[in-house]
Amino acid sequence: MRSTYSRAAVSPDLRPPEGKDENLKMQSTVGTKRWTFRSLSGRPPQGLWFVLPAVLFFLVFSTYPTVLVILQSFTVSDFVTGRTTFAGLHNFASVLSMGEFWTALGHSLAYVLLSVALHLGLGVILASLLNQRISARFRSTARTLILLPWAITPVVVAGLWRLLYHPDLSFVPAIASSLGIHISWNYLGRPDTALFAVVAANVWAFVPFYTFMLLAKLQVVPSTLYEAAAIDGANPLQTFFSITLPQLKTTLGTLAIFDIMGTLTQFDLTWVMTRGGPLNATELLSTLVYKQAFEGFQFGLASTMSVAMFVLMIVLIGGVSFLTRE
Amino acid sequence: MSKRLITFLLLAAALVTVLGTASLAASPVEITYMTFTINEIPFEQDLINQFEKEHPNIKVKVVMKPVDSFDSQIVLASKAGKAPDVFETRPGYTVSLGTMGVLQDLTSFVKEDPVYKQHFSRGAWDMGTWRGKQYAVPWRDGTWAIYANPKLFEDAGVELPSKWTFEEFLKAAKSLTNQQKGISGFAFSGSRTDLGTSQSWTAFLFGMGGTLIENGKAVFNDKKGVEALQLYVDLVHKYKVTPSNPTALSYKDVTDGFGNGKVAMWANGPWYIATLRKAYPGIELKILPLPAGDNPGSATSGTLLAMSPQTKHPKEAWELVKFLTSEESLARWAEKGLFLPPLANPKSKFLTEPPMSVFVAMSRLPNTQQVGNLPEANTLWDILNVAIQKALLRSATSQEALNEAAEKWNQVLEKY
Repeated sequence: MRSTYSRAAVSPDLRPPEGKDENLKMQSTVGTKRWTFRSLSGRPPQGLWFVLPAVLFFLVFSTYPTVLVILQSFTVSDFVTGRTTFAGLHNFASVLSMGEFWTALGHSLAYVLLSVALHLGLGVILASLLNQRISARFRSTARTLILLPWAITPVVVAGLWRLLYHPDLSFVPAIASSLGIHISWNYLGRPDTALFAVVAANVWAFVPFYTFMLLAKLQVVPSTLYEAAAIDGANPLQTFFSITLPQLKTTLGTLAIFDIMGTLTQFDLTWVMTRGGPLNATELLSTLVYKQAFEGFQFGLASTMSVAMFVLMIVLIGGVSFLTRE
Repeated sequence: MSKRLITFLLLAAALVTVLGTASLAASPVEITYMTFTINEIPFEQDLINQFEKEHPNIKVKVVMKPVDSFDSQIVLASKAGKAPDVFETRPGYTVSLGTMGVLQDLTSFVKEDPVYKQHFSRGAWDMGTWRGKQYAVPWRDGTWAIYANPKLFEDAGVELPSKWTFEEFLKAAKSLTNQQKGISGFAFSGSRTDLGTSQSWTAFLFGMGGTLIENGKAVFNDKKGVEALQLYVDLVHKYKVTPSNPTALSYKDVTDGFGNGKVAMWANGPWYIATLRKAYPGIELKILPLPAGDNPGSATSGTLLAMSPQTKHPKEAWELVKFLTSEESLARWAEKGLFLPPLANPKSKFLTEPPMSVFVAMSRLPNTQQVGNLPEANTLWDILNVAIQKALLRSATSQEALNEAAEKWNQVLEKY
């Protein structure tokens, strides 16, 4: 895509040399004009003031709590005296020897991998369908309908799905019963199905977001690519795997990272639907951290588990970055 | 400096001191009171208003928090150094919070006022006691009994009993269950994180003549305990008289089922009457005794009042505690017919009439016991909840589940 800035409005320093790609030159020229505190003797550029609130917000509400959690993971607090003592790796040893932690880690991994795969897989399919040559009105209606679940707050989504899974109150067994079919409908109450039941609710709620992100990308894929494929006699599957997917690769990578971060730290949906139960069937790291901190009041252990969650996130994101590298 | 000027200055200084002291005396001390019941029971606010009227130098700031997270809120506020001066606490958590240092030891306050504790019943008073320390004082008492929907009883042709055995209870639950209409004869919470899961089962355990702890050791895995848990399992799987997903049900789900006419019976204490009447205005309910075995009993629980050691106004905070738990205030609670007063000799006529007379009768059964007075209560109740879930999900027999839980309980109890 070509730049649309006005050449006359650009300062001489930033103007790219003639005959070169303008975008590339813009980046490299701006890169050499980096502002430092020393070079401008106390007169920071106007832009700094614009980003300062965001930077301060980030430092106060993101960096500070993160550092605090990491520090807390190396400490043990005595509630009675209020004294906090350095405990070295004691919390880490305790957490690593906890069966509950490994169970929650396994569940979190399964929950994230399943959810991300389904979010993106279904997202690609739905986005591809919406990107077909269909009437604008149909596309607009379909978009609105698909977007609806995402517009509902996760706590309400959890409440709706709890009701849907309820063996006595759900409309599904009632309809089945009226048709003379008796089904076992207790997916949240059974340890072997509860995690999948929560994943289904998660997928229903968040697929719309990924569909829209992917659709936005698909709509800027040059139509000439599809036209060339059609001339070459490619069938729809070949077109999908040779043009659509490669074009989405970078976007999918970015969305996967975004999704891993969101799903791994997600708490509200699982908490409202199952509170980690039955038994520990849906215990995720996020719910276990909550229980350790706010029900067991073991803030050191909860912080250590949060750090472990952070490490898991880094590993997963690293894996995605490796798989989607250019 | 002339004598006249010195005299004038001295008089002015005296005047300033007097006015300053007077203004300080006039500005009331504000204390914070945290509660989880005031929204449902406006009478609590009436008592606070009366206290402020009688103590013009003390202003009470009322903070309402939901019961589900109440204990966590107290702990977090204490950790942040911003604990309320006075707050409610439940017997199941009082010792836990006390041993964590979140509750002020009230022993010295009580000793200074020997008359104060005379009106309390001994059982209620002990709800807040642990190893010689008084962590809280009883405020509202209650014993577990059965809540019943009289219309569903009538529709099923089942008479409301004044006393019954477990066999009769089971027979009634079967008659009341109507799967086509989605009606369960009985319901209970089996959610792992609901305190009511283990407390409701404990009421049945005591009703069957069992107990939780003897001589500092968990004994709920004995014959009586296994019978009590097996009853729960059979109600779900053998007799199918409960909702089929009890492990996914919290007490809120159970009460919603009762309020919507889908649950005929469930168990809890008198404190739920106000909650139900607020959530379902016009609801019809009857209170029935728990079914009785050879050594009948029930679980008693309630709420207590505690003070934070962080309070900057201990004298005023204690004044509020004393006022709210005075014999007169407790008697007024009893008149409202919402709780059993923790009094040694309650005299209200409401206590002799249903529904409160049933709760009173349950409190006088030979095996009626407190469910509180446990250290690390969150851990212990969670262990018991897991045992109940394991048995209900049939991943262990009742005996296996309770054996495992008792072993874990003993590991915790050995520390104290």
